[in-house]
Amino acid sequence: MSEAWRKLIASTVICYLVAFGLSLLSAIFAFSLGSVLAMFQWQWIVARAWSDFFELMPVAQAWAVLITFALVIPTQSGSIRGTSFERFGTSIVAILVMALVFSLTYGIAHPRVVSRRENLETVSIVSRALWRIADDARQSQDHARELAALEQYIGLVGETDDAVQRRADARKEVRKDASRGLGDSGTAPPTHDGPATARELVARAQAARAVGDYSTSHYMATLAQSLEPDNDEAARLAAEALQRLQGTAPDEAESEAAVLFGMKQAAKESLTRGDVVDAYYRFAELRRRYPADRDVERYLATARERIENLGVFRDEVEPLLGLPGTGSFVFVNGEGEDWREVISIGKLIQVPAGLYAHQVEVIRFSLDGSLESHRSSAYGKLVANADGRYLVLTVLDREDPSAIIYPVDHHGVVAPETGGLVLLSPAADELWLLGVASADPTGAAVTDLFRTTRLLRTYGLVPEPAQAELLRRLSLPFTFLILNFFVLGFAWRYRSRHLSWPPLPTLVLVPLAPLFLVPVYLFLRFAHRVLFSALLLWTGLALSVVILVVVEAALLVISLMYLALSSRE
Amino acid sequence: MKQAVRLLSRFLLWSILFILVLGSLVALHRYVIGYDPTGARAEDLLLRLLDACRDVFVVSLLAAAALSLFATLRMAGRTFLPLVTLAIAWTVLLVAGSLLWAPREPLSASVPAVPEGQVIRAGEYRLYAPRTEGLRLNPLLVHEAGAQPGFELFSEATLDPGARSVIVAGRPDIAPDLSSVDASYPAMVTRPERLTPLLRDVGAVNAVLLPDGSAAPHSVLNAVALGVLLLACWTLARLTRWPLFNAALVFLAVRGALWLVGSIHGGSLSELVTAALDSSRLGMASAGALAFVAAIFFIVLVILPPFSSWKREVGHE
Repeated sequence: MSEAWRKLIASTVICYLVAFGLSLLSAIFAFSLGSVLAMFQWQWIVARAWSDFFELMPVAQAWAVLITFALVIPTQSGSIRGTSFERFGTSIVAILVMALVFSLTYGIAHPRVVSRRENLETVSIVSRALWRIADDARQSQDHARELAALEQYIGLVGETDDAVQRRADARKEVRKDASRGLGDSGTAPPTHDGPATARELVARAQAARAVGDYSTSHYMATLAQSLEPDNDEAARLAAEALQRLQGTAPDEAESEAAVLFGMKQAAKESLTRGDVVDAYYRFAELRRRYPADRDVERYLATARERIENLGVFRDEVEPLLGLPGTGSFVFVNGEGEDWREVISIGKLIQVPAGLYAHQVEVIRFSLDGSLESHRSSAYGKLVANADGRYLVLTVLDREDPSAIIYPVDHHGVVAPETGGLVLLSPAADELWLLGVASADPTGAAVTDLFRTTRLLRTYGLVPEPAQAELLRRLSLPFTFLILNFFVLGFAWRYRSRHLSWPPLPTLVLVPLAPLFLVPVYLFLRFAHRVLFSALLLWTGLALSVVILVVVEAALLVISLMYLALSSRE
Repeated sequence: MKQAVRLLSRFLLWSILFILVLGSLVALHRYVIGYDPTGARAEDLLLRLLDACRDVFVVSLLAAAALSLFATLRMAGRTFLPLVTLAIAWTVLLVAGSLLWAPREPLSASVPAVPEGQVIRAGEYRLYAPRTEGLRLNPLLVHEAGAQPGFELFSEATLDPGARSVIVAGRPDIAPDLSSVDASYPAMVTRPERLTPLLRDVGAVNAVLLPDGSAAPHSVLNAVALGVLLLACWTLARLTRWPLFNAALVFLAVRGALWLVGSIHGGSLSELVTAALDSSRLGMASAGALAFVAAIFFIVLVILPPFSSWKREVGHE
């Protein structure tokens, strides 16, 4: 029997490989284009296969135990003598080691694959909605809205051929719209009092020359000449004015310096009066024109620092949308005696640069049911300063000041200077935990579940599902051991009594054993979950953990006793 | 006779144990789903336990019967009398259950609450009701996934316990299904998807054997047929010299019986049977099908070697 553990390990490896293959197959059949985009097909299938495999690892282990002790060992070794420990000692140790491996892999890898799968499903829902919005916008000729939706779509799912083509078309249309607007203003007929004669124009040219305004004098004389090309006086005045102008005009460098100075002045004034957005774009323009100017460089850095507290750059957030993040979640951001503020975030992404949000919506209402304000924005970013924590909702373009997107006000009037800012109650790590634990607790790490136990209720979320998930995680290693010890006892008690390999038809049990083990395991887990959820609601988390440990220890002892009794000959 | 009595008492003990354990789980499950932090009452749980015991009565008897069959394999001496005694016991219990165990007046429907001041998720909706008064929610904030904008505020909404839904006056398009509530108490006891077919078939057998109205003759007939099939499973319990394989066959037979009754009464075989029979005779059809399977098992029993030689081979003697 000392060889038993080797046979058990060999069976375990085979059963785990087959179990993963079956999980993969099941995930392939479970895939539906209705819930996940075609481009995420294999990512979703692999994530689902791994999560199913991790879920059913105890069953795969029990399968291996069943085959080894009900078929392989009895057939090869016949009846085995010795105490229960001599018979099963090494195999029990092997099962304990596998329980440890299971606990570690489940604890570390399972939340990641679940969260990955959830993320793909959420991204599919959101990107489909964006595609519909782009379609609607195109039909209503709102090309700017179409372009914004397509930019988000590409940020989420990547550059697909049709999306890129549509974005290019939308950009063209937006440019056309813009030029049409400019053209309209440029071709508007100038207003004037009436047509002037050549003589009148010459008179005006002379009057301008008399006061030293050679520029006007030259302009009027040239106009008079165009009306009467033979007008000598007009020609003389034009030539004289031109000569004077050439003599008094500054050189090119002086003109350029004057222009630079004027632009810097205007940009600095914007910065001083707090119009950071205007100042940023003015300095950005100056930087393009005068890349070597140190003043511009310095002021641009100041403007950029300030503007990052007021808005999020589109090219900063859009590449992040495809990264893993939380699922969508809703939480209560603030409450007073007669009002509430609730925030919805479609997806939260955490990168070293900070927390970025996709599809943010903020609503504030009175308890009598009247709406106070309702805003939404495609993107948001968490910023913190001395005044508090804010979610900035204004979307900025690094180059184009006309491409700024302010939050859409669906209801109410919000002061322009605060319209793009939402004062947040949760801190950055709390916001992240809210997203992780409230979207789907099975995708949260155990440490996150521990940390959120008190946090969720503060922000209007029910904490018990996360706590129940925590209890489930704590009970999983016990469940693994209890199931396998029971199966070990059962397999040995009902082992094959054939003197050699049993008849071929009976071997059908080997591949079909999981069909019996899966319901047993799922029922065991379901029973655990029901019992401890009720206990959690009655007694709270701390006492439930204590009772869980006691109950699991008792079940473990019972399973070992059953094993000992089953091995009696 | 002594062995028969011992076996019978063991069967009754297992039955009571299964009824209590499974009944408690069902009662706790319903308690968690309908948990309302503002109005939770432990005394309701006892009343719910009585209802739950009725719901798990049949499946508990089936499980106890299957275990008792295996106990007979290890018995010394003749097994005929203990087996027949057992079969009579479980058949009488099944028939008595279908005749006598009428459902009580239902408790107030177990509606998943929309807890005051907490965000819950129901399908693609998220609901937030800062104030609730009984079934009235005022106001109610609804967020719909994928919609832009997603939030909609309603000054009032009501819970519909019958439809397990929320009703917003003038907005029939918004009907969050509270039976699929997650991110709240029901999410704590979500049923594993893979158990759904089994639980559905158990529910169908319950509906046939323990009807809500007065017991129909077909309920009694099905109870008897099921009792006979369980006895016939003894053939499977001693079919080969690999007891584990035999146990799997018994498990499969019991599971198959549940499926058969479930699919004839509203499942995949329902249309096929109603094409040949009047729909009022579905009960007869399911009882006949169970009896037919039992007859096959009895025929196989006749051609099997004697039980004493099987016991010698597997080392029980």
